Amino acid sequence: MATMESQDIASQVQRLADIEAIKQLKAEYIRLVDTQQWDAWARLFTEDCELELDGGAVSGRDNTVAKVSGALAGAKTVHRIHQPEVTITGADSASARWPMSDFVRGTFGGKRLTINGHGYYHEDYVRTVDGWRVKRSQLIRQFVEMVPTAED
Amino acid sequence: MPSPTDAVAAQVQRLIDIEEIKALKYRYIRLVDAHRFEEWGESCFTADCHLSTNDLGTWTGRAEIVAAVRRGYGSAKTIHQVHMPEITFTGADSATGIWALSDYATWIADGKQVIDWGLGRYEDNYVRTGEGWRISRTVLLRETLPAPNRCASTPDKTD
Repeated sequence: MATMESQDIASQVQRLADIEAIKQLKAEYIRLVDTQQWDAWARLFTEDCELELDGGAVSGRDNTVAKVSGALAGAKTVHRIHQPEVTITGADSASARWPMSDFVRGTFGGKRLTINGHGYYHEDYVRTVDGWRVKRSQLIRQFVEMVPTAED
Repeated sequence: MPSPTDAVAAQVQRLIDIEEIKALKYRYIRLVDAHRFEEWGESCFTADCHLSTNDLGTWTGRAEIVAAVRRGYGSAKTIHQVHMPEITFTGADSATGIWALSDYATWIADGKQVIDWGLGRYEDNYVRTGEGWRISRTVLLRETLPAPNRCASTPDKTD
């Protein structure tokens, strides 16, 4: 039988493994947006996920994918995330704050723009039978620069 | 039959391996930007490592890689930053990694300073050796960030 001490160690190790898995989940999230692999990206969310981007909110996995893939159709994006603050909030739940920077080139409202943004993701995650998934993602940009851009 | 302690030990080993692979990649970046090319080759690669890039070429073997990078970067100033590691174990002593790259390079060509901001992705293979984790294969997919944002060939330096 495991002693109390070895149970504590096991749960501490599990916590470290969970933090690492959440970091990798978010890395995958970013890579799949920037390469526009929407089917794979969808699998990172819970069915009932909520997404909020600079004030625009959408619920459910299908609506989330439709909204983001539609907004970015024909655009080029590069996102970078840094310095995660991951908090384990329960046996199967966690949250994180991630600073982000992004570069977006595309046509928005009839205008060709290059957008440089800096902000934070605030996210909640849950452990499912398929691993950690995004339950809620909110992106608030503190700084957005829009540069009119000629066609490539 | 493995005991719970064995399972915990295996999980700890995996977390240590992930940290060591991250540290390997950070060392790789730091030594390139410091132009410490010999040390870079010795401490980061297997002797038979394979390095390929979409825009600059493909090299096999530590000596060839070190010579090529010294030629390419020796007279430039570079800043590389890597982000968002996705480390996956493919065996007890092997792993893959995906890393996002942002980089900046500047050099003098025909008397003028050239500035090049780039973006990319590394796709690496790692193996555990007697000296620790080493890169056995690295593929860099990189592009210069398109104008007008951050790519410029400036006039002669005025400072």
